[in-house]
Amino acid sequence: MHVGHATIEDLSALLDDELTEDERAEVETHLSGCDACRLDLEQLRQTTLALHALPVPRVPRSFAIATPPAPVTRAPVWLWQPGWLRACSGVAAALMVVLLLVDVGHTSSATFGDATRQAAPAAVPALGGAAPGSNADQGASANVPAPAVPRAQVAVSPNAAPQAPSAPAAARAPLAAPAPAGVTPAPSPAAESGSAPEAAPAPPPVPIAGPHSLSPGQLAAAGCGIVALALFITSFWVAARR
Amino acid sequence: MAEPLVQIDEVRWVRDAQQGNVEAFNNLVERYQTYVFSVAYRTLGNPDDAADAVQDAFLSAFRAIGDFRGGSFKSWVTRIVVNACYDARRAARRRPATSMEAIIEEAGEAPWADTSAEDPEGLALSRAALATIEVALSELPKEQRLAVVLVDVEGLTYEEAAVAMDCALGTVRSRLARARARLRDALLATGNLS
Repeated sequence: MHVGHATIEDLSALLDDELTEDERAEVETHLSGCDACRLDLEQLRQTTLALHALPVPRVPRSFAIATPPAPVTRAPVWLWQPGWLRACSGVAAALMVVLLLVDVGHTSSATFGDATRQAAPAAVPALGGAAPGSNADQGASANVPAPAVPRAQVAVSPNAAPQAPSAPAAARAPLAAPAPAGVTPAPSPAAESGSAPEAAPAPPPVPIAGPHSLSPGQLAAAGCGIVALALFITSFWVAARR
Repeated sequence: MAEPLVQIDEVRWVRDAQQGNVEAFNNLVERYQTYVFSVAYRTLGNPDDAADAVQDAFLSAFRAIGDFRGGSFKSWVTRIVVNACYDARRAARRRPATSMEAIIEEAGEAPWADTSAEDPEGLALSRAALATIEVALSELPKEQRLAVVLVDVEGLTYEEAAVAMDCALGTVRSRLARARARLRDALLATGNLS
């Protein structure tokens, strides 16, 4: 810096008109008689002009903020919790079991009903005093051979057992049926005693479904099983992604 | 009349942006991105780092627009980009950087220089003189460089620069004077000024 001269800061501020009136008057008075300070001032002015002249860098891209995307309709987050998926899987599995049990019951009942329709004409005459015309007797007679037929079915057509998903279940369901139908317990001994030969000629029950076809109940149960398995696997997949 | 209309637009955009209107904020981005990128580029000396800093700065500005209490949006956003540049500079210290001198030697001029820029006013400054001043600028202490970039390159007033640099007016004045003196010496040393 030049001792006794205007400072660079004063000269720089003078260029930008950032001096107070008093400062400005003082510097301008000095400049009027000092060639060195006038040269400094001119060099600073040229420097600032050179800075003004620097090329403007081209913007490489737009810096606009991306507009937030519209909210996507998705399943609620809680639906994708592993716990929830496993609970759904359990429900589907339970539904599958229920459907299987119901299906077995229906299959057995249908088989039983078919056998009943065939056994009834033979059994009714064996009852002797029963009034064939009464509705109550007709309803009762439909239930009469219930305990006997499943046993006969098991005995007469052993190949029927593999068709049932659960042979013990198939046997239990008809055995439980006589409880409400127990209004006429007489037929049971009749079927097991002397009248048995009359019931015996009844043809073996015709299976409702073939060995390779599935009933609607079984299909529904299979569907539930698949859903249960899929949900169970998905729950682990969701858990693994976290 | 143009200036007031521009300011009216800006006030409306700021108000709408404070309500969460992204398009309104992007109008502000569109208006200032060239200036903001220029500041970042001159501060960091690297176009890629500058672009990252500018993107960060505008995102930060959008998040903080609710805190803007009027005044010069330009000064406010400059302060944000300056902070983003300082953050970028701290991060860049951990990796080797390409100096401005090396960039200029390789490219012959500042990268992405806008060829439509005005010729030096009343000066017969050669490309060599501009290259000299680019290099000298990049070698200034960061506070001095920022002062000269804001005032001499970008044309901010002392008051706007003080807001952007978060310092007093007197500090701007002294930093600017020292920076100009250094740049002048660089031009004199290379024979680009007499």
